[in-house]
Amino acid sequence: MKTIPILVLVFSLFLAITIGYTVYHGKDSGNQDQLDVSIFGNITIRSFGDTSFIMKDNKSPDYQKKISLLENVSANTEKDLVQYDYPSGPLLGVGYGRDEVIIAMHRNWTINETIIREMYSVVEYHGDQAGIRSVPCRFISMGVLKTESSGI
Amino acid sequence: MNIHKTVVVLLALLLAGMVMVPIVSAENNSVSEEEKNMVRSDNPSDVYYKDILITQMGTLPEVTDALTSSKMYFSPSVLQKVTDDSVPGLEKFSYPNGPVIGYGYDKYGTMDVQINKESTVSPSEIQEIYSVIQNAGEKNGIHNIPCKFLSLGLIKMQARTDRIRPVIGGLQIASDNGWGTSGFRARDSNGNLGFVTAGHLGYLNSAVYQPDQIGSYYAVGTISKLGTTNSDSAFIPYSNTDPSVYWSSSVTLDYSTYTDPQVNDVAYKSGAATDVTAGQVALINRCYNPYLGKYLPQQAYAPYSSSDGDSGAPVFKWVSSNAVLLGIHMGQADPGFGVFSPISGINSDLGITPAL
Repeated sequence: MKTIPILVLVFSLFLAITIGYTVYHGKDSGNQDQLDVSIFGNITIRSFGDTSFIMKDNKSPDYQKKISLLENVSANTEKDLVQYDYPSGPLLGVGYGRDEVIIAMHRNWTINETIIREMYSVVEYHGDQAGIRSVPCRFISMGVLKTESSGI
Repeated sequence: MNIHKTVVVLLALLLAGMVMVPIVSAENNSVSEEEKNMVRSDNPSDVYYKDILITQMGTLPEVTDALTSSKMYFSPSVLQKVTDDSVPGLEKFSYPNGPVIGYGYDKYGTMDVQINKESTVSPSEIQEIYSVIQNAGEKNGIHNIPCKFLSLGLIKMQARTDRIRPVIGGLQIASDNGWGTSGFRARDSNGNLGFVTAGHLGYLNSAVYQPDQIGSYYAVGTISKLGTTNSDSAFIPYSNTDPSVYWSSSVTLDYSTYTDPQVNDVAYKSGAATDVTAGQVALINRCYNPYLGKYLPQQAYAPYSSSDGDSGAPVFKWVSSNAVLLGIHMGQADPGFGVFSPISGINSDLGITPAL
């Protein structure tokens, strides 16, 4: 009989926490958690680095800082990879996503592991310069842009 | 023991109540920002009603201390109930069977009925219509509810492929390289109004038409500037433009501001070919543009669907129910990324400022 009031108390606590959590997280908390990472699933060639994104001082930057760092690393990397630029080479672009540097390679390119490793070493260097430990990087396969005017 | 059990149960109820009560209270007592900001006026000749007021029925309440402190004669929630309760009775008067094309309440807190300006309506019919609303008002505790009768035209449904003036974003346009979509209104460095679209639709001085190259009646200007460094864009000076964007045949949207896209933004594209489609910005990347034969920096990639004819379409996101302009659509990159030029690159290349 002693257990009944305890059960009532536990249930009420559970109810209170559940309702509170639902109300709080039911609000629009922004779209940072909604990216469908499967968008890269079928087109990923290789991935490198640590997506937990830790700085060399063992700190994790906030989202805006992380994006700023990724932008910086991708911009610096791009300058050092011009020899691979399309159309003479397979490199379509160096950019960034939510969590990583993204390198887009032409989809008709035959994958060369040596070149990929070489490219990542450049990314890694610039990531290190920016204070990032094992900067995450994803190589994806993509087509060239097709402009969309409709012919007369 | 009984006291012990009772205390435990009471504590449990108190704990649950501490969470439940604020939630319920918030839902029942919140006043929307719209309600707070509404302004009351009993001057029927103000600009809002100029030239469209047929007549007024009912009685405006006396101004009391309570009323002077409120913003509307009656609250929106009560007026909405009156509106809802009027629906069955107003059916027989409603277009196309009758002259009524809309009804509801206005910013002053009075009811309004919209009468098709092409219809002839008699005083007795007005009285009949008012009786329906008056009864609905009585049902909701308002005696002789005030109601204005306004003369308005029917909504004109328009397609993107229609000739639409003023030109807005999201319409079909055509130039030397084919047809695409109008982007957004802007002002050049000389203060001239015009609109922006994709640069690959034409050349410098190419004539531009909306919707198509059928004749001079459809001409909207010529391309005065092309953007090729940070964007694929063009500016067409044309004064008869509006800052809004086409959303559907009866709805246009206004922008609150503009900003560059960020990863994770949900980007909406309003294109003449594939209408409104959306996708989350997955990456910001340099992009090789085969038309320009060069790379454009910092273009945004989002998996919204698009097709030939969408070039130049405005791309925007929603922030707190407001549309925020992000850029203009350029094309597609397999496997299904819409690619658009960011607004800062367009502004920089063309020397323009969005005129939103």
